[in-house]
Amino acid sequence: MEKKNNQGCILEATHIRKTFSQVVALNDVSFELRAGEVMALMGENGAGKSTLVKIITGLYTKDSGTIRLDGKEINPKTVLESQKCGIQTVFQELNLSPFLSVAENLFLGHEIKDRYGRIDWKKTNERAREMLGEMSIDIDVTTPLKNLTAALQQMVAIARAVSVNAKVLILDEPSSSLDADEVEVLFREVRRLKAKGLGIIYITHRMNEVFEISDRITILRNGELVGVFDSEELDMGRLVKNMIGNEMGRATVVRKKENPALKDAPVLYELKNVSKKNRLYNVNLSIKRGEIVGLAGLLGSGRTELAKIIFGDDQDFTGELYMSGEKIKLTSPNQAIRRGVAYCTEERRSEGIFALMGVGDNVIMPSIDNYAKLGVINDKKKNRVIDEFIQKLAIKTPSGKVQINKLSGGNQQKALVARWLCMDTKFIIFDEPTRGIDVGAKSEIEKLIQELAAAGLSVLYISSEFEELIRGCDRVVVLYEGHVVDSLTGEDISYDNILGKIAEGAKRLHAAKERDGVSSGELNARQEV
Amino acid sequence: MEMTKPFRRNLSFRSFFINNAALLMCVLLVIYNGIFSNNFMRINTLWNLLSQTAALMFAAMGQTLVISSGCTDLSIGSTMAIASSVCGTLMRAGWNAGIAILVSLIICVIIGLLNGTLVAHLHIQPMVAMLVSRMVWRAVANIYTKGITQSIETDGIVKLIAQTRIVSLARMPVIVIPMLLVVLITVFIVKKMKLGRKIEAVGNNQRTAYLCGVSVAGTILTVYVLSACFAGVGGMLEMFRSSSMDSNTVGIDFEMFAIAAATIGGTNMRGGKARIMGSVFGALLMTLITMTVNYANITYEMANVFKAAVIVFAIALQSSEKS
Repeated sequence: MEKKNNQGCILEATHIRKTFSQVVALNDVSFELRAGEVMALMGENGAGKSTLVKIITGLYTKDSGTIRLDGKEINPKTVLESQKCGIQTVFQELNLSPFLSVAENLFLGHEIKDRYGRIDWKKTNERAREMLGEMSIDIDVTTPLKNLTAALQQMVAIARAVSVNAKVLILDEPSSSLDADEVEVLFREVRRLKAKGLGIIYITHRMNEVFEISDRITILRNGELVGVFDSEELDMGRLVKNMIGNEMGRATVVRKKENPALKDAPVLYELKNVSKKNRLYNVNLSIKRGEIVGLAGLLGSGRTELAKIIFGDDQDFTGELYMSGEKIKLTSPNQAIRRGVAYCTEERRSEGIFALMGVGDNVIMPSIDNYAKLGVINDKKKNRVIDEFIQKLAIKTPSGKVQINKLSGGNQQKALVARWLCMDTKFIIFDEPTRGIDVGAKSEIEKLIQELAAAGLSVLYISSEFEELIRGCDRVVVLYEGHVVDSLTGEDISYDNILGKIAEGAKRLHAAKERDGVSSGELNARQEV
Repeated sequence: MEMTKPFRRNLSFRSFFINNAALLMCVLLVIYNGIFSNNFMRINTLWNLLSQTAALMFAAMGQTLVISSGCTDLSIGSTMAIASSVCGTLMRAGWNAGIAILVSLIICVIIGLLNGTLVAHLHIQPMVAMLVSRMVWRAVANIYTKGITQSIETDGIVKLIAQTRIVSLARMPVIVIPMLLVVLITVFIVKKMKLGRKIEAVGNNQRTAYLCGVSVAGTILTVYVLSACFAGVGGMLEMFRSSSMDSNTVGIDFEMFAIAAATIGGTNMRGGKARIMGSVFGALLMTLITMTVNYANITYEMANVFKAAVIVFAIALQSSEKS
């Protein structure tokens, strides 16, 4: 590839490398952005998208590599510096002031002043109206920003970003909180800016959008560049494959043996027509006693949302939940726990552990009632159970009294599993149980999950590591953006099939949107699971 | 073993100092007074120290529970005023002392419930909610007593608590007994009771506690009720000890000294860990500072300056350990 003299190239990054202590977040990543194009940046969690963007915007400093803007090397140390060069970013969480007016937001930091240094409100509002007028948006610029819809706020953020000498515009997940028709408005604006000659980097996890809006797609995986593709030369299937990776090792994962006992096993937990606005659409799912059901899907497919509904943590949904055939209503996790439902969170630090408490106290918290009479804890009984489970799960700790945050991630995770096993749990949800723990602990957790199912527990297994699902699940349900695409059993559980189903989901959803222009339960209407 | 490394760090001199700052400073002050103050090294000084700390000890125990649940209670002083006013007025009206105390305690429960509701159900920031509550309850107490200072007859329970000493126990004042009791009760709550685990769980992380089925609102409510009741008893003790009822001044700044005691004692202001013995020495330290200032014949107001210095020092120590 000839790098210099590339026609219309405005932003060029070459051999970017970034490490955080020992972990390589970006390794030798290069790309170029041309004037007047939309380049999509795609990748799964941990691919390095946001690290790359943060380096370009000056939030992080790179270890090595060069960034050139209009052929001149730049080295932004702060966001302000990168903005001065002409790189503007609209982050997912808009950096606007909700209580200030639209016009104030647009001119915050570069106010229009008269010769006495007072803000010239007349001119400010006029200019604000003009700016929004260019985007064909007609609103009262003096209303507080918070009164606008999410889509309009986004537009204001974009207007603000491009108002000052912008050459490069970075949009970070701009559509994640927008409805289908709002996305159209966003696209119209993106196309207009593209026509004006801006280079636009568009980050999203919605794959349909990518083909609609982008000219080229840059794909990252595990901090490395997979490739830069013209949008026309890629299809959904190849895009997914490139994002997830398709190494030979993964293709030869040994599938779990079929469990004949499951045929006649009774259904333990069932979801009927569960929908949540913009997140889940008519999800039907049932889990049998002793069954391990995997949930496979990309970022934003609604896996965790589903888990939170099952666990009673989220009551803002429509549809019905059944347990052992009986319709249930959960108003808090407490009620789910009482029914024997457990949830091992993916956010171990922020909603899993009690950092300052001992391992033992962390373990017994949900079942503390079992050890107390009249509010007084029977220490003997408690400690016996704690010691038993520390041993059973081989948690490496000198004693149950040691603060949990002194343990390694894997041992913390085991303690959190022990939390639910030392009580009468019938159904346990594992949300990314192996994230952030070392290889040895990973296989121990995987083995443990098999033992639990063998002992009659039902398991919902959420993981981004598809090979874990293939190795460990009796059934894998594939989700795509809140829709159940299909449910794979037996021979059908394979790497290629999971990827294929994700791509199929994307295609079908796209087709449904094309046909009637709205995102709905359409995908599921034709799908019996 | 790979496990030994992080634990050894705990034993460093620095953390030892931070974890026992209150005790060490108490020892330091005792040595100082032993050398420079006349007549300090006597058993009676100890009894003075303890009886002067009694009311603060109640406040500090309640405050430690509240802080370890991740909240604060700034209404302690005002609650002391209400409890003592109600109890004193009823006693002056000829009520049985026991019943008067009981009525005061019921009112304290109500105050605690209201305080807890502001924080747990209306989700008002503890600091803001308590500033309001602090203002209101003091005002209510003053309205109730019309702001008049009145004496309480010294017989019955008042005499028992204020003036009686147990001769066989080196003339220990009776007031030391309730003080010891409240410490024991608090230790029991934290170490032995379900509630103690829940308080620390909520203080660690409300979200995690909720996901573990713990009733966050219920726990916060309980903690505020406990704090109000402890404060109420403290207020009544203070009234009995001085045999005068004064809604204007009783318990003034006690919530601050209680926070100070807890902080110096090593209880993290962000919650999650209750260090009861630390608070005990923290409370004693507060009184020791006042006594030292008295012995040295410095203006009484200087005591608050020293206390402030000690608090800043303790908090700075704590946050330096964090980073």
